[in-house]
Amino acid sequence: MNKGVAKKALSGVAAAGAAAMLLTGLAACGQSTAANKKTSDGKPIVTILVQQNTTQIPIGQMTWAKELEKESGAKIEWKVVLDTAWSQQKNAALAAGDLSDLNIRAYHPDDASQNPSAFEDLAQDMDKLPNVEAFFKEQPVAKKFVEVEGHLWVLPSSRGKAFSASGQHMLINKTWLDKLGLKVPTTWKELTKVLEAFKTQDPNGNGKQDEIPMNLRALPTDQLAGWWSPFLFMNSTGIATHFNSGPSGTGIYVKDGKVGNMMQTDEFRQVLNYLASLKKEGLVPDDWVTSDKYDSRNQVGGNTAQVGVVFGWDATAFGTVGSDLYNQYITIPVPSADGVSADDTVWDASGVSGANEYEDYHMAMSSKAANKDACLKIINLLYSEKYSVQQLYGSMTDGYLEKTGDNTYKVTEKFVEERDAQKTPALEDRLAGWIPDADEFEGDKNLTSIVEADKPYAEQYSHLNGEKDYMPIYVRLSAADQTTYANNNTTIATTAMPLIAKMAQNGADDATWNSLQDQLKSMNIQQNVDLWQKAYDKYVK
Amino acid sequence: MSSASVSVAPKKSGADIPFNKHVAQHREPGDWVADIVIWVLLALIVAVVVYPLWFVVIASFSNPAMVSTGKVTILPVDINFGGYEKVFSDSRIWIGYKNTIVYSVVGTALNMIVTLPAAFALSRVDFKPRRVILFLFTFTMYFAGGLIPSYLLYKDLNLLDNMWVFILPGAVSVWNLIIARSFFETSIPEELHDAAQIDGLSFFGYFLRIVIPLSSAIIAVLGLYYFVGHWNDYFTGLIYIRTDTKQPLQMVLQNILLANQTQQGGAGNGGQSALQQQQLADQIKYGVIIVSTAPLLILYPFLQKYFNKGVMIGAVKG
Amino acid sequence: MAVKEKAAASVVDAAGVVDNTAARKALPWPKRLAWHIQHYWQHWLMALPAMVFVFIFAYIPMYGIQLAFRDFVPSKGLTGGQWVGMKYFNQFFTSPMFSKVMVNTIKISLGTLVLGFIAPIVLALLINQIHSTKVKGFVQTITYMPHFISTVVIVAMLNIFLTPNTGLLGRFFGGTSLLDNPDMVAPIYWLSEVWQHCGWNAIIYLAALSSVDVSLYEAAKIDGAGRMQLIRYVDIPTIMPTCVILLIMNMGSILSVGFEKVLLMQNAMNLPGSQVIATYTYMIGLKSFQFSYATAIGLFNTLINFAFLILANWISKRVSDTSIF
Repeated sequence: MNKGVAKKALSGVAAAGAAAMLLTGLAACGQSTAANKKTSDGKPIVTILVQQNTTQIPIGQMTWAKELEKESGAKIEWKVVLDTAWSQQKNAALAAGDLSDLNIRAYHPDDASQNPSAFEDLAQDMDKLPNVEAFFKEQPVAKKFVEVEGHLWVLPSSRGKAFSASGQHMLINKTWLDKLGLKVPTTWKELTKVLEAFKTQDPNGNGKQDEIPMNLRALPTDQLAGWWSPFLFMNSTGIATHFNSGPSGTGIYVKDGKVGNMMQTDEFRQVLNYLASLKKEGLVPDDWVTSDKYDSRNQVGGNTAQVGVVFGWDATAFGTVGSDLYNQYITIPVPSADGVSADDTVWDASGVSGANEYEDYHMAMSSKAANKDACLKIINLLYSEKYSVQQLYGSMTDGYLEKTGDNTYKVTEKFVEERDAQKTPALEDRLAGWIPDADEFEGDKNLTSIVEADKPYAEQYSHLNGEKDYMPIYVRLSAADQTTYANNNTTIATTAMPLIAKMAQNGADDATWNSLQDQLKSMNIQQNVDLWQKAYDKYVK
Repeated sequence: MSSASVSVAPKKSGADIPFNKHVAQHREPGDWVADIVIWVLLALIVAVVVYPLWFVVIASFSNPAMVSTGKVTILPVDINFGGYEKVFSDSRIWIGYKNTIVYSVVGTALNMIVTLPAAFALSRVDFKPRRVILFLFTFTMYFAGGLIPSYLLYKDLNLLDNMWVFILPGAVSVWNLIIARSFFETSIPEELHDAAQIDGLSFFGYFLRIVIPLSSAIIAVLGLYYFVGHWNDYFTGLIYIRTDTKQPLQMVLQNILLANQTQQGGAGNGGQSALQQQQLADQIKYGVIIVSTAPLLILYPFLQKYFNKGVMIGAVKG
Repeated sequence: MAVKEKAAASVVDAAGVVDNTAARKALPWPKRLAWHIQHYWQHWLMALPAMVFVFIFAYIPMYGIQLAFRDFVPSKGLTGGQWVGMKYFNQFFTSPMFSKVMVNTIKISLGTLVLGFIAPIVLALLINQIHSTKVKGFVQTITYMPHFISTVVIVAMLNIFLTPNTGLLGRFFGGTSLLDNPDMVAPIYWLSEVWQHCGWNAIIYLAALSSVDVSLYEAAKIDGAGRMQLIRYVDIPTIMPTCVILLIMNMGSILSVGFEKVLLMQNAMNLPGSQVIATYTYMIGLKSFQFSYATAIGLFNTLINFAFLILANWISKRVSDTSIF
């Protein structure tokens, strides 16, 4: 072999290296940053980041969004991020100072209070945001959700009174009750009897003993409870949960203005014993504490009902709205615990507190936004009724939504079809807007379902003494307290959950119960309670 | 390589025994006991592996509630193709396939161009700085700056939302580089180098004309490792891509899956009902594996043939 | 490898150029450098692209590690937070969780390391015994497929198979699921890992086996070696360097466990056995975005891993003359 080969070889390797360099170079020239904030014809450019769901079409393709752009007189550059991606990207974006001009459903008030310089304090711009001002006038609670020491770094959204309901409900198969001639249970004892009848008397009539009298959701590993937790039974004892959100999931509750932790109460022990008694009688699935089959169990029967009682969102857990299985189930007030009068029972406060109606992180503006006036104009437009309803149900131009009167709208079949095909042409409840209380919508069956589901709880809600009996959403811990609280919780959950899981199956005998109480104390549970008491006292005056 | 009068002296022993590729398959009496043991063991292993694979297949078109409650064992129950329909009715999947193929092919090509020469240079014992370089490489397998500085770097390099973010940052996998280096070190007889030098081949020439043709096995393995790495890359799309049409297959599939998962009570998710979503989600979970790995299954048999060419055989033919 | 280095040195010695080497060492460094460049520029050029990529994409972001020693304030960026020294390390060491997560992590990873190291070697040796190319291809393809099953599905299958009374395996283990038992988390993890990755990891050994010098078989057979002897004296020595390299690299993951898998395997009953460093860090990071704390724990983890790698590399260099660097 000779120099020719060597040369070839050299040039080969050199080419490879050069190619690599070139690629890097190319990449560097691949994109131009939108440094110039005006289009060539002088329109201001506004970038808007939207956190979207995969079931929705990209916001840039929605007709109302195009109309919004036109009306605002600005050139809008939409950036879409998916939920899953956003939780990862958010902190990198914050640290990089990489905020878009406007951000829909991206930053929480807590994010802003830790980086105040990155966010525009919209409290200073209220004169340019009359629609937001009107919103806060009608719904002062919504403002409380986001206000941090007088600053408004983030605006809330309201999805309207149709969402003024808890996400937590207790469902029972009414068809089974009627068939067996039973009444809706009002106490734990009656509930046990009903469940026994469900188990033994073949209410679904298929000749097999395949009924699951009560289906329960597994206990989580990182905190005490989440959505549809069996600890909703705490409400039977008069201690209100708030499992939609907030510290309730770690056991924090409020009663008469005093903060405590459920795990330390006798009522909690009572609930554990009741759950254990259900397991002992075979009325709940044997492995419910750890099994991830909660959803499958609701559906395993196909078109035959197999579940008697369940904690859930509404009857759509069993069938689509209007289907045969859906119609078999009704929501009922939670039965009272032994020795507790029905007048003392309560229900999950998530609906009452507005946790389902408002969300506290739907619009944030960068303090570095170049075209401030254009941004504010867009915000104001978004919070107008016209654009709010279209964000919720799609463009009127395209016929997804029809205006039928002053404050009445009709959601069309066309919209429902697109939504069922997972090509929703709207932001739905992720809107950055305000649906006034006066607005009425017809045609969306899912929407009415949840309000209907909430009705039977009116009585139990009335037993709540307002914010004295639950932790309002706007009560916040300071960043440092938040860290302490979270660290304590991680330790507590790892130690306490196995004990709680054990007691939920076998009963709260003295040894295990006392061991749990000792563990909780040694792991600073009192500190968490104190932190929340301090915050509660500060915010609820 | 005809010009190379490379005498292929086997490096260890038995230099005087003539090569005969049939002898290796010659049966000695008494070997059949070992044969039976081997075959029984392999049959067992295959059975243990096959069943769960079969389970994934039948679960992908059975009623998901039946699957998770253990009612699906040998044959599918309540056969339906809802999961697949959902996956393939989504036009994004074809874009995803296209993107992933592009990223994987271009990425792997760059990987090989960068890794192989480096691995070979670092396999040379006389190249003294190699220990330091290898140490510095290995160091990066453990110590990384984390997500935020990487994000900032990519932002500065304009790699955010850019297809090259799938290709450039992962151009070298140190793990693969060490494997390749180790192969070069142990499987390429030193005699070849001497012979090449006598023939007047430069170092480049030696690498390209002699080493590469003898290294088909490691090239196949490396190519497979890199290709599969690109194919399964999900994180990059998740963090650095903000445009739908640039998402790779894994991300598209993940999105289809998520779109169909129970939206917890509907809060923040359009208040949608749980039922129809969840039913599909479980099924899609299994179907997605088949959709995303099917193309990889044909890859292996194709590469396998390169494993059967040993170093010596190649050299003799050369 | 060192053994070769010695051999090379002796060759040089025998060829009579030993004087040159000695003379070169005596030269002043600019001349030595010139000599080095003259002889090794091609080596450098070949390694350069990889070095550039590693420098840009691995070394430049590395300043982020200081986050472990600072209070992270997003608005001030990575380097702007106050220097707090070992605060977060101490926080971890004195946390009541420390010993628990350490024990669990080591238990899970050590078993995976041992089983995950041996199983692919055995499988590769077995597959190598098959003479029919078709059967060989079939077995290889089947055994490497589980590698592509996502963790979510693996854990879902574990749950289904281990369901008490009805599951494929669960029916043999009484009324409670094995997964609910904190002591069984680790073995279930090990075995499922081996099941999933054994075939995939065997590939590298099969590639190494394909380079066996066929004449070695001949020689051994003439010496009357049987099947087992061939494996012992030809196959195993052939793949030994690969084994050692992989073992060293695996030693560097002594404190690493598949985070997603453990997280998915966790349930309220098995937490005492399933809370590991990675899941603990995740909970900390997820719940309160404590980047500094999470980075500190990660760095501690890395340091231990790297220390083990260095140790393994050093031992191996002494004992077997094989090493990474």
